[in-house]
Amino acid sequence: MKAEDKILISSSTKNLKSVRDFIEQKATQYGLEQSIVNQVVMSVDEACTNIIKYTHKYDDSESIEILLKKENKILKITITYRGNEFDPNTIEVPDMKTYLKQHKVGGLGIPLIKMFMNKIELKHYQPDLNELTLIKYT
Amino acid sequence: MKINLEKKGDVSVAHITGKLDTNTALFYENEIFPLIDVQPEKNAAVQVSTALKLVLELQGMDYVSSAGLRVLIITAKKIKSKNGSLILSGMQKQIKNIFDISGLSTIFQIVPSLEEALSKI
Repeated sequence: MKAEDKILISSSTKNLKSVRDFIEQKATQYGLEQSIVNQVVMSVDEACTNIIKYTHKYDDSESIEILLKKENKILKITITYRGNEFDPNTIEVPDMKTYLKQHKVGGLGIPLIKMFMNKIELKHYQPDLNELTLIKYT
Repeated sequence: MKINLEKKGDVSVAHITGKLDTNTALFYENEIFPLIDVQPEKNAAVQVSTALKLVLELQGMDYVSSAGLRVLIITAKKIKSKNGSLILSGMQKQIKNIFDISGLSTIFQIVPSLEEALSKI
C-alpha cells in the first residue's frame, strides 16, 4: 500500500488542532492501530509546537507544511519550514524519576517525540529551509 | 477544555474534560494552582491542618500534549511541597499509554475510577 497526503498551515498554535485532526484522520485511513495513531498525532503536535514557539516565535506569517507518506509498514511525516537549523537528535531522552529529582518541569516535547517515533531525521538546506522527518515503523 | 471543581468531604475534585495542550495549559494553571497555593490565614485563632487532597478526574480528557504534562507535573510538585496528596483518576486508555511510555506513570498515583481515588486519598 502506498499513500501520500499533505497539509499546509500558517505558523500558529491555533492551527494545532487542525494538524492533529488531519494526522489522526489520515493515519487511521492508512490502517494504523489506535495506540500508534495517538503517538504519531502527539509527536507531530510537539514538533509543530516547537517550530511555532521557538523557530518562528509565534510569527504566523511563517508557514509549516506536513507531508505524510505511508509505504508498506513505514510511515514518514516530513515537516518543512523555514528557520534556524535545530536537530532534535541532539536532545537526550531523560529518565523521568531523575528528571523530576532535578526539579525540571519543561522540555518534554522532543523527548516524547523520540519515545514515540522510531527515527528522526533533519535536513537543512541553505539558507534557511528545514525538512524534519519523523519515521514510525507500523 | 472545561474544568469543574467540587468538594467531596475534605477532598477537592477537578473534573477535566477536553484537551490539555499548549492552548489550554494556562487555563488549567489559573483554575488549579490557586487551590494549591492558597495561604492559611495568619491571624486564625486555631491553625487547622490544610494539607490539600486533590483528585484530577480525567475521564473526559481526550488529549494531553507536553504542555499539558508540564502543568500536571507542576501540580504534583506543588502538592508534594505542601505534603498534600494527588491522585489522577479515570484516565482514558490512550492517555494512560502516553504516561506509561514516557515513564510518568511511575511518578503519579493513577487509579481507574473516582470512587477508588476517593477511597485511597
